[in-house]
Amino acid sequence: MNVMSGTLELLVLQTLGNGAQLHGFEVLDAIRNATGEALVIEEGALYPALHRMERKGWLSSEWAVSDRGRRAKYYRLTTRGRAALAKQHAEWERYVWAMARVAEHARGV
Amino acid sequence: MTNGRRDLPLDPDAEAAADLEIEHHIATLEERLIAEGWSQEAARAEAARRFGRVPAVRSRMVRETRAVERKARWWDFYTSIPRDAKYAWRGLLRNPAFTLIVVLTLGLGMGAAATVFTVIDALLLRPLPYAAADRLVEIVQKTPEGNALPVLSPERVRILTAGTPSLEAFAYHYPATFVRTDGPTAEQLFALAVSESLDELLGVRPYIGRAFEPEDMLPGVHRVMMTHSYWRQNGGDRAIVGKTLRLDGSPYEVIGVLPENFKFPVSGQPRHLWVPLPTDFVVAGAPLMYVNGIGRMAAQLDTAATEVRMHAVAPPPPDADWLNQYSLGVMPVGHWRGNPELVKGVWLIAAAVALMMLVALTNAMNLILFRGADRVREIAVRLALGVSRMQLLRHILVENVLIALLSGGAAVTLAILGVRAVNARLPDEFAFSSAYAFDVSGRVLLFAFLLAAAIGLVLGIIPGLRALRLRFASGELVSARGATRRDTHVSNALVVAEVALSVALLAGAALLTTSFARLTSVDPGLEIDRLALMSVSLPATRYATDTERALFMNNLEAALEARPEVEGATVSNGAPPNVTISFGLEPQAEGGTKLEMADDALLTRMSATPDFLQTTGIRLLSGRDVTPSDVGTKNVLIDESFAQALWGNTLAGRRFRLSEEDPWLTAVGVYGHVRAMGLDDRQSKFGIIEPRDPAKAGSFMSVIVRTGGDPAALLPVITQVMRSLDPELPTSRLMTANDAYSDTVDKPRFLARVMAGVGVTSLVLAGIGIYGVLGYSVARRRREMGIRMALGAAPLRLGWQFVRDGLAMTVAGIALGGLFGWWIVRLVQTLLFETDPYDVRPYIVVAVAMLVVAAIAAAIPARVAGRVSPATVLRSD
Repeated sequence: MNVMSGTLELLVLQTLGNGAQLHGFEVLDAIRNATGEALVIEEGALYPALHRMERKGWLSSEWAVSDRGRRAKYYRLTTRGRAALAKQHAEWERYVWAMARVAEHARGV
Repeated sequence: MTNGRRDLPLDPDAEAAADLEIEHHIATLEERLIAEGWSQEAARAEAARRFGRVPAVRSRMVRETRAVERKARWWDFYTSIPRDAKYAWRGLLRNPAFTLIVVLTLGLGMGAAATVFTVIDALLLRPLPYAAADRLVEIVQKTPEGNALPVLSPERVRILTAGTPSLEAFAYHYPATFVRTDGPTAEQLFALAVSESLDELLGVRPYIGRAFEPEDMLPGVHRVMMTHSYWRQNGGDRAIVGKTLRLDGSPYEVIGVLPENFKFPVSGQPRHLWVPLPTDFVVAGAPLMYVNGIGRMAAQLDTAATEVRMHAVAPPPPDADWLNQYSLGVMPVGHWRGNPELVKGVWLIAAAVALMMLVALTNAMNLILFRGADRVREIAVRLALGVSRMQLLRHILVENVLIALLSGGAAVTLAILGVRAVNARLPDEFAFSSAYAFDVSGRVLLFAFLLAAAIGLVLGIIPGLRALRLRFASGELVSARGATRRDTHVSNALVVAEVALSVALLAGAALLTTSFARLTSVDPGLEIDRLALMSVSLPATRYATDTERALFMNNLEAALEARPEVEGATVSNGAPPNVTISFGLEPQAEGGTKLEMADDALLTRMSATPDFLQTTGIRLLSGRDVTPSDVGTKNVLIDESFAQALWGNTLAGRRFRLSEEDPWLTAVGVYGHVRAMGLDDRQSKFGIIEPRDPAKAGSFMSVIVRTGGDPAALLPVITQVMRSLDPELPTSRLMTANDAYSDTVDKPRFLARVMAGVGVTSLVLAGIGIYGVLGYSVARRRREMGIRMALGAAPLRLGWQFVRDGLAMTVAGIALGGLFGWWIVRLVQTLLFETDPYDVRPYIVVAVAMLVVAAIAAAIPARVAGRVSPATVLRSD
């Protein structure tokens, strides 16, 4: 299953929502683990998304040396990012609820 | 993952950053694949495959990042201001002495200027706050010599009220006193009895309630308006209108309250009430012989034209007495603003503060100049480290804005405190002369703030910009020394000027202080350390006759003398320094010629119970004291200086008269000269004491009480005695004679204190200036010091060189200050009391004080110079 654009941002926000500071690879890993690899996110989509979210002020970044001794760019949720997370989460819930109703209707319940 | 993590110093540029990020991702993936059992080569290929089209991803990443950076540049500019401010603040705290001195110096200069401006503005500059104030005039009788006699008879008032073409409006007034008895204690109130149209004439509208109407002017109507301050003092209740006050035993209805800060133009003396001046001229139970007139000249008329027309309407009748003797004249109500003594005092203070401000500014300029020079090196280092000029400029700006704000804040604070101090300390004579309260206005505060801030900002930024403009080759960088030789010359000259100004100010202050000390040590001629004074005013409503008043005064005297604390009490028509005076007399010794009495010479005339000399401690030089048997005779006591003027000696027993119309008096005794009008009294050379008839007393009497102990302890005793005799009588002007005499010199005291304060402040500022210049000189010449030390120079010698420089500047300043002081001396000359303005001793004292301060100020940097370690200095270069 491929992830719809927009949803990817929610996933990233969700992943960093606990205050973690992660680099791109770790973000990807975290999403894969959390969804039991049900969602496949392409690197080609993730990195531009991270940068886009940084531009929107949702993420802040910092260059640091990883525990493996490599320079990596670490991302962290900003206050604005936290607000975006809350808002998108609510929208998502509404969306899911609406979709469920449609699905139920289609099944003729 | 946080192990060993640290911030990298610089962000790589966007593309490199994207590459780095991608590279990191692929490498991490590759590592994982290898861990899963892939061969290295296969892992690399798989990782690259999974990541996909690197160039496309990278270009999308870069695009987003570039957008972030564009935004960040603007964002940074704003968000970094607090950070810069914090940085600047820390910088200022690292150098607290510099910050404090600059801020206080600018604050002091501007704060003092704002204070003085507030006072001058209220006293002299601002237009009077009355309707058509330029045409507002006092109406007086003018003597042929041009003196103004503020006396208008009821007849003339009626003529002027009926209307004259020369006056657009006319009103009149007269002071009155009342005793209010509905409060917890009897209270003496000062009132102004006013004609109906006075409020309209001045353009004053009541704050609450209404003003007087024609029906209030009918005889026997008891209504009052309260002044705003008295209303406030009584709780400031807006429901006051309609309430009654008990004044002189009768109820008076309150009809209104005058506006806040309203001051009557002819005298700003604080008053409690306005009462109607009724058409029968009876105020507080007593008929008035005359009133004071005030009017507004018709437009286009000058004072001369007005006087001519008034003369035509109300000429003096041919056989008139002094009430109607002279032609009517007018004097603009603002004329008292030109009172030369007042103006001189005010301008002296203004000049002194202006000079102090110059000293302060010079100082601030020097300090900031040096600091700017000091920072050349710091700026050079930071430029070399790659900090952009823009960033540095912003740092300099923010730092100086900070200093500017602090200086402005200090200026405002000091201005508020200054005006508060002025209100607490300003002599009554100054305060009464002002048509305005001394309130520091928002505009003045804003001006002081902006001026202090602007000066701080400009002075700070100029050296900063100069430092930025410098081009630093590598060799220049390490030897960048800041100020040029020309700067040093300029600042040395500035310090010399500072010292000169301070010396001049201090010399003026020393003269005034010496003069004040002389003034307070003069012998007033009576034993003021043992005396308490009080005025008693007996209301005509309850004490109508001479006999009733005399009975009360005699009872009071007896009751006071019955107290163990009291050694004696005496009742008179006045108590020094407030006595009855006469002028314009032509005294003459029997068989001698008439004495020329100078225009400003006065005769003091005390009428006292015969124990007056004993009680007051006035010395009898020759002859005898008056006794009760002298009452009703022409036997009097005479002041020694008067006797000298009449006969050339102080022998008693001869006859004289005060003028041709007066009877011959016999001087049975001569008493030692009394400064009957205050310590600075140079006018009352002539004085007599007449025995008072104990069976008669006027409405206003003075009581002098003598004690063996502290007269201050006597004051509650006197209040108690008064209350036991008549609880409805207030004690007025109850104070020790010491305080009363001290009040007579409040103006010289004020001037001396202000000048001393200004002078000492300048001295300290000049000291700081010397410290600053030498401190900088030491810092600049560290390398030279180091080399000379390495070559074997003694540290003491090196230090001495700076002290010598400091003292040289000081001596130059002192010499210059002497010349300058000459001007100050001319300014204060007429304010001096028995002090030689050209006495060099105060100047020498001042010069020595200046040298001591300079030596201390120079010693601090000199010690630093002596401790320079050659090794450190040479290494650091």
